[in-house]
Amino acid sequence: MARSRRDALNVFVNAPFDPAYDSLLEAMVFMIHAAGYRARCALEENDSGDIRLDKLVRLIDESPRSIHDLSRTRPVSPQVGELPRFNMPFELGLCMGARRFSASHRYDKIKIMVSEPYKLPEYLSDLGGNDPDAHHEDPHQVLMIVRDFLQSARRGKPLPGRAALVATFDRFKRAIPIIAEGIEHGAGEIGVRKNFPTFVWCLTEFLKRAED
Amino acid sequence: MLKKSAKKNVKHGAMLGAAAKKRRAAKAEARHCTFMGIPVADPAVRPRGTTVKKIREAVAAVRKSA
Repeated sequence: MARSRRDALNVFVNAPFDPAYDSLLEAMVFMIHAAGYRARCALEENDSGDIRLDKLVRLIDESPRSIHDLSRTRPVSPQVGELPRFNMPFELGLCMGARRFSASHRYDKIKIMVSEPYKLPEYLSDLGGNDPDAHHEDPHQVLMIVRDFLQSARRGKPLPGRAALVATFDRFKRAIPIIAEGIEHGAGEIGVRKNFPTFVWCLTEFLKRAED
Repeated sequence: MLKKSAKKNVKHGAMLGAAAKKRRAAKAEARHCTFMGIPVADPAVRPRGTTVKKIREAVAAVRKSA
């Protein structure tokens, strides 16, 4: 097994990758980087030779913090023939297991998010004692949940307040199609799900110049 | 053998090697790579379909026009 590149700044993101969730995922990744941390998720590599489970295990191993959104684990109409998504609870289980059974992950921090409050124990009663945060499908609420979870930046620096974060996030959302055109991409080609590595670089460079 | 004044300069970092100069420049740049005083961490993987330099230029152009 390759040597772990564990870094205190890594935050593993376990969230659904579907178009309806894009704005919430953008908010999550934005807040992680605005707080000085680094978002890590399965979208960052595009290697078909890499087995998906191995990739997830590596990311979890390298990240002392993780954020899990279980809001898409919900009943699907039987007529459609679809089943609920179990990837997110599975990956949460991997993180919980690592924390419980591995000495090096004993102090890992885990945040669970859901869409509506008090629903989690109905479908995941083993987590009945945990208090997940409800984002009500609001990206600004996701910003605040992630901000409160990370608490502070490196060396205990306090994180910016809600108004500043929301304003910068909205400005970034407006700027991303223009930045995409500037790097010879179509306005819709750079997105959190479509080209994650480039999207995150656009975000970090934007944040570095946000106060110019 | 260095003169006494030259020795003093070495001690105070005036005669820096190329590597030290580079390190100093990187440190100075890192001080500006902050968002509201918080150092912004670079992502784990390189961008796809473009370069970091091009992204920097595109972001700078957007910030200038804003």
